[in-house]
Amino acid sequence: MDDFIRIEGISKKYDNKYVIKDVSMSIPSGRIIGLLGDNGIGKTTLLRLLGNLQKPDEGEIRVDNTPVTQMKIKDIVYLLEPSNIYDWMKIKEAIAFYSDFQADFDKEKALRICREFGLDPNAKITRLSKGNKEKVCLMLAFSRNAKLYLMDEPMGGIDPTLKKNIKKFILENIPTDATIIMATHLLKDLEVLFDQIIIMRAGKIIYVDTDEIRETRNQSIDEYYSEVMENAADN
Amino acid sequence: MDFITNLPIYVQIATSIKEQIMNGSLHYGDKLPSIREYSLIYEVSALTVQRAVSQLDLEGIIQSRKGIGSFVLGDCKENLESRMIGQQVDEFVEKMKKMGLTDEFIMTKVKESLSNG
Repeated sequence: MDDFIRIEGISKKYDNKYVIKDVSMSIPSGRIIGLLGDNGIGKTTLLRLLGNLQKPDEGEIRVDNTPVTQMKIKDIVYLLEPSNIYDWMKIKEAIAFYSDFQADFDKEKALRICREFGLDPNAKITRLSKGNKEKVCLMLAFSRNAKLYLMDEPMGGIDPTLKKNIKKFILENIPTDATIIMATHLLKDLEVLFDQIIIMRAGKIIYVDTDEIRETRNQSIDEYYSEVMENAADN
Repeated sequence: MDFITNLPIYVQIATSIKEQIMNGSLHYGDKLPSIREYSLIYEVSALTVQRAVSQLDLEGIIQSRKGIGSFVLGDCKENLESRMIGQQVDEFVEKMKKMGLTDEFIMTKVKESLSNG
């Protein structure tokens, strides 16, 4: 089968407390997946393990049949948080910098996205607003042509116009066979885009197909998610 | 397109394409837009479009040829009309009868509505 991502029995502890405990799942390629759950439940940890920015205490993650610990940087895009970009650079310097060490970085695409976002390539990143810094991060991530995109709340401070067009922006700028896993609180805005969702809650992970929920339960994903979280609170 | 969020998205796209065949914006033999094009038109994932197209293929409304694309089947319009219209009329009549209206009354009302254009 085309199990693009195989997670096998991974656990991660901080200060002797499990954030992720014995999680196994298989994710096929070409899926757009929403990663949902309360703050602090471990969404960022899961993304960081998938992106090989952290190592699990137990278990293994394979992407495209290769352990992530052996993956080359070019195959996975981990969307940076604004605090992690080199903000002393000008936007065009950041573009040159990333295109130098990322083989799949498309400079033309980067400049096109800058125009679409109204970003001036000559602007210094440090002087940008929070929303525009997020745009720079989105621009740098989506200028690549990768197989896996990992995103942690990519649109916290983004303006309403871009929020409205974000689905189109994502679809226009990724290869159709790429997989996206995106942690987000904007479920209402994005639920139509998600093929699947992963819901993290204390001690449990739910991984389901969105159209299957609509078909079998006659619920929107937002309704389903609220129900799951309410039931979790009752237990 | 605004989707109804508690109904499968792929079904709504399949219905939308069927409507385009019925209202003549897609003709028999026409090549459908590619998966990627549809994905941008409807702002849904390629997988969702793929599911909608497979559904239409399964229903015999289009024919997908690997590596070439999907085409509206030459003889599907009539089929589609009779199926979709049949279903709508059945639902309407059932609703009216549930309200306790007589056949005659329903007929008169339909005729009135038609003549009002």
